[in-house]
Amino acid sequence: EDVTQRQLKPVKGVPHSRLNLYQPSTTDTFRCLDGSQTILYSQLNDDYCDCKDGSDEPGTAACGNAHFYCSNVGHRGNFIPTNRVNDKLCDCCDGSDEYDSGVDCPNICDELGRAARIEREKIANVARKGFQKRQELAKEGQTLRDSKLKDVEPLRQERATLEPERSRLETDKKSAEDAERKLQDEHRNQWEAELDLDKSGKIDKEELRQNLFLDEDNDGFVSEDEVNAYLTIDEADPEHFQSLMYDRLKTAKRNHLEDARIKEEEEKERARALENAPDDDDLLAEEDRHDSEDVTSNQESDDDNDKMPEYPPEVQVASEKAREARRLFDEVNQKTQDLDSRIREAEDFANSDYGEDSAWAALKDKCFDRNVQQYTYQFCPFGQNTQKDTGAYSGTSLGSFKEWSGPDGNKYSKMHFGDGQQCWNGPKRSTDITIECGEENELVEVTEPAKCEYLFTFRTPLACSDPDKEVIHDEF
Amino acid sequence: VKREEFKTCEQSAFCKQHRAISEPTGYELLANTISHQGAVWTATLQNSQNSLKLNIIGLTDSTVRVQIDEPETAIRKRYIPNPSLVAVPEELTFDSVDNGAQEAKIVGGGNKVKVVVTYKPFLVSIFNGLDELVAQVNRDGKLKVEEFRTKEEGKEYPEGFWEERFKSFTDHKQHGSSSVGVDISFVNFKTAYGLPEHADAFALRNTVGNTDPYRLYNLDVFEYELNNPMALYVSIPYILAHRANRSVGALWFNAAETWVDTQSSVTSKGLFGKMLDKVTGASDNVPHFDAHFMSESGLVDIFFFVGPTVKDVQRQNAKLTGTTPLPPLFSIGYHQCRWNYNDEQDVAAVNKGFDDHDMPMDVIWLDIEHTDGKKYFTWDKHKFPTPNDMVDKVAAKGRKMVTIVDPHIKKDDGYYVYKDAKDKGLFVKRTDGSDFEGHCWPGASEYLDFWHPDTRSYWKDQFSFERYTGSSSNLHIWNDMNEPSVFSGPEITMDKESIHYGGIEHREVHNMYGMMYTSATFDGLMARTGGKERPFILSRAGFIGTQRTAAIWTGDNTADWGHLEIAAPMTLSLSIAGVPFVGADVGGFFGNPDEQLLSRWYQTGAFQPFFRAHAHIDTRRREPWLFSEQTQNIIRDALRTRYALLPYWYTLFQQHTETGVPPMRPLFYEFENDDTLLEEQKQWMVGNGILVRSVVEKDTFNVQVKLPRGDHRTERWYEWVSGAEVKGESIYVDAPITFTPVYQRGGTIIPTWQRIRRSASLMRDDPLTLFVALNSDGSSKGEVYLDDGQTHDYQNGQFVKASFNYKTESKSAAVLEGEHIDGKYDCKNWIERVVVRGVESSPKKVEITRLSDPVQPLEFSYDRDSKVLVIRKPEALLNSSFKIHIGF
Repeated sequence: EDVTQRQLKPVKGVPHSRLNLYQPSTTDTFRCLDGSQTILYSQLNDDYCDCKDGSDEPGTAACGNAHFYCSNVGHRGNFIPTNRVNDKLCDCCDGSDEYDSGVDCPNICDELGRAARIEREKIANVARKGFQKRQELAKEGQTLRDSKLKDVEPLRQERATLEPERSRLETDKKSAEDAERKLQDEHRNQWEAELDLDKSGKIDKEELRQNLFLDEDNDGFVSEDEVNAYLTIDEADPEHFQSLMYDRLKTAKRNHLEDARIKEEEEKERARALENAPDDDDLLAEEDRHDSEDVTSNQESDDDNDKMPEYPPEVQVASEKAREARRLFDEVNQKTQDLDSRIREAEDFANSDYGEDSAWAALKDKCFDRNVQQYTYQFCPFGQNTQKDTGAYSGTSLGSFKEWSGPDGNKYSKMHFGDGQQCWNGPKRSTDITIECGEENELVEVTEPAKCEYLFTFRTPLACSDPDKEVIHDEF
Repeated sequence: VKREEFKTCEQSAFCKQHRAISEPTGYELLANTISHQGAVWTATLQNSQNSLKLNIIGLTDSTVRVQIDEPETAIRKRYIPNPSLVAVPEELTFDSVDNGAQEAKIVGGGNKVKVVVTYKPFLVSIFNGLDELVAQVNRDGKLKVEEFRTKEEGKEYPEGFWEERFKSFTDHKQHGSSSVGVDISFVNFKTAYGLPEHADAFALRNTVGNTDPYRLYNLDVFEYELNNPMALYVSIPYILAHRANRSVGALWFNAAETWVDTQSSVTSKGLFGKMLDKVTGASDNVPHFDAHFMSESGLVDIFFFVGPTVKDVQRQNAKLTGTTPLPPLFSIGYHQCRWNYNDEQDVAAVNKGFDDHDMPMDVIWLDIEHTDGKKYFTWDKHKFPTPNDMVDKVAAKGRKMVTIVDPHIKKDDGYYVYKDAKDKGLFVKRTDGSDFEGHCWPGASEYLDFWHPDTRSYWKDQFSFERYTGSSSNLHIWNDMNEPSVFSGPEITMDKESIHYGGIEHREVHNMYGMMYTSATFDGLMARTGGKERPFILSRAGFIGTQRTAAIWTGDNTADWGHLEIAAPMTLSLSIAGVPFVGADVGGFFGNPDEQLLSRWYQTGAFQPFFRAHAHIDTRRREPWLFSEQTQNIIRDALRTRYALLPYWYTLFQQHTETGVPPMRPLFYEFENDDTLLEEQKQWMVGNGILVRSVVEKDTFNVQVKLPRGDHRTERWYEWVSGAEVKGESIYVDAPITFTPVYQRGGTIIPTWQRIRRSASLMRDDPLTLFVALNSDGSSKGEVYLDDGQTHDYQNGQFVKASFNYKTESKSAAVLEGEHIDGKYDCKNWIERVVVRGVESSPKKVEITRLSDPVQPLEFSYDRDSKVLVIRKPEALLNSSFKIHIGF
């Protein structure tokens, strides 16, 4: 038994632990705790505010900035602002704040204490179970993270190894393509030179006319119109020729040659047929077949119009080389691109904040639903939140993960999602998520306190801390 | 604002015609038709168009009524808005009547008012009790009355006479055009005020040759703009003209759409002829403020209040139109509203938020989303499943709730109010006898007809606790959209041709609709507690007499600086027109205020009578704790300042019931002789003791403040917070974001509660701190009124009125006397502190004598720098007398 404790004068509104500050001096005075004034001890708790810091009226409502301590034996002691003393409302569970207001407050501390204990145990239970789960999830998350990070190095190395080959093949490809183009150009230029009869450096209509393959209607000569189909101006310089005429001319020439070949074959056929003398029907059938063959072969030639015109063999060899170079390059390039994306993914993972122990990584691609009246709300941590009509396939975006938004020291207690679908006449939809400890992952509440600004409450073991390590704080 | 939705004068046939009058209409009084009896003098007027009947009626307290109607032979009786008066006006027999050959002189009872009626041309001149010419009617010969007539086939009528089109709407005038109008001139006055409600300057502008006339036609104007004469939600056709030490008021007693063209000019004396013989001043040029009133129907019916002082005029108006009954204490605290608080959890969270952040608040409001499909008197079952519990929880902190009940009734047979009203025939009708139907929040809606005798009693019954389930005495009512607002109607209101009970056309009574509605609601709230508890109703629309049943707010304003600034002129205009319980949405309804604007708005709203924050559904949440700590502190400070002054506000509201003077006043109410204050609208007085110049300009931390020094330069002023005296007449004051320039007038004693609790009712029995500010004689006085703050027991003497008087008797002695002057309420309030400002030197001793107790010394402290004396714990009960002696 502390002798000094026994001698301490009790002072209304002051907890036991602070009574020593409120004892009278030897001259029966009291000094305001901020040192601003010394008053008579009888003026302590005399329902008049003397001290600037309110320290002389812990037990009355006289000072606006003071606090009254409710002992609340049986439950938890706590401080209330003194403006709640004698206001006819029962604020302390022991009713000690209403001693002069005409109101009799029942002492309900035992009840509350009991209920609080039960509640505390319940919460601790959940927290314990949750915390355990959390440990597991943390392991999962850590594993996931580690594997992603672990994989990154070899990926990077592989990528690094491939790079010189890729580079080399890219160069090869380029030179093969360059060579091809060069030969093609030469060929084109050569033909142009052939067509340029007067060597003026330009192709004119007269010169074109000399090329029978332009005789489309097979009337034996090339008309003005037939030339105009290919040359719309008076004379074409090399650039004009290469870009606007070469391909079509080449095609026309090829078709002409093809037509000639077909005619030749037909002649041979007829000769053979005459020898065998089949009936007219067969002939007709043959003709039909040939006609259809003509059609198809013409179709083929038409198709060929889209392809590059034929080049001489040496050019074709160069093209073949270029094709091969491209193939080799693409193979390796595909590999490196693939690696790049996997590296990026792993880096994102590493840079994302999944909590100090990466426990949140376990929820990376998971989502949680809640039905509220006719809607289904979906919360995807690190992804996008949506609201949709229950049963519908798609919905409205309520925002995507932006950041952890809890207060300092408790960052992971809140998440902020933003840049959701634009609201008519309002902001882009956004969601704030409050995270609470729970045994299971569950989206427990969805509200919309202001237009298009949503509030989710998510319970998860990831928010549970070890209850047995909890420090009991003094309520102040 | 979409201006094209609302008529200009040009688009209103009668306004256009009256405004175009350029020549006198030539009315003459026929002398041989004069007759008089008691307080009523009548005669016939005639011109080339028609004959009219003139009544001059003498009333008590310096009031006279000039009424011009059609003669008895009229084919239809014109509507007189009698329900807007508190009672039948009390007549006072004339002292004398002298009917001359060319004019008649009528002297009112007690010689308080005199009327001279000139016959040809017809002119009425009004004189006050000092024989000064104060007003004239028809000096410019604009008197015009379109008599009722039957339509003649083949006859040509002026444009819009039987039918008027506006946008896609056609108004069929069953009885044809029946407009009335006349010019009123306030002689020897430069400035005039009133004609609320307009988002414009306090002092009435010159509309002639400038803008449209001021329009008085209650309308729901979406996103209204500032500085224009467009009609808004309230119409009070009242003008107060004022000059140094002299005022006169005129009430245009007409409930139809009214336009008022105003102009302040100066004319040579000659215009006024010998009427002006008695006008003081040698000047040959006489200023006059002219107002040409034009109404769509009704009578030319004008009440003149001839003062002579501005407070006399206010009282005379109040005698006729009534005062605001003493409001329940909670209603002058702080109100927290939003469209919408979403559900019971939201309400509980808001309730808790104020406590957690130690900010006082008294009422949480619920807007239309709380109902089941905008059917009033119902609750959304999902969001508000247990309304009684919800209200109880709020009431457990001494607070109240308010729910919205609008006059449009959803057309739904499953909705009991609709079914009842339909079955009883209580809706406003169309001309074909069917119920008028319009579109509003619930969709197809019908509107209750409060002229039907059964509607009032039906409506009253709907507020009983049994009928309105979920309601309780802790739940009060908000009557919104009562212009009435009709989304599908012309100018977003009801068609004028609609028919009320008794064949009254809506056009004849439109401006009264809102007032009739709140009056019926008031009856309902009274009846539900058997008349025991005081009701609180907030209304958007209003008319003459609205103040008897509702507080008014300035509707859907915007979160911008201009709207913050316009709050004062708008509330001043309503206050002097007889509606004192007024305010604007703190923070602005449309849009999101930034922290600076919000801070300044709380500081301003704390000093205006009705103090409520409100916001549109599309805005972001703006409960005080959602802002920075600095803003939270500023808001807390503003709230505490308001709550500390509750005893003062309460006393002012009580005084209003006796004198009619509003708590919020223009400076010229208190400094009547100072003509530099005639256009002041950034500063105002709260009572006679507090001057406010809140900062309403963006990024402004230094403002100019006018401190009126009075006729003899003797007024003294003290800074409200520090108590230090302030010298100078026009000073520059530092006003950082945390500070509001507020001053206490020397010579006043202001009662306060320095213990700020969670809500007003919790503070009711707390001790008072008196702030005594000395005038140049070293004296000061004040009063306090308190009661239980919620019932009508004060009508049976359950109140306490105390007066305080401080006198400096000599260089060495001063006395503060407290006297219990009336009431037998057993109040617990005692005086815990007296702060005396302007004390020259430190006292040597302070003592108190209470009744028969021996003299008791009191401790005190004196600050030499601020010259403030604080007297510690006089411990005098409010309902007993005491004397504090101060020895120097």
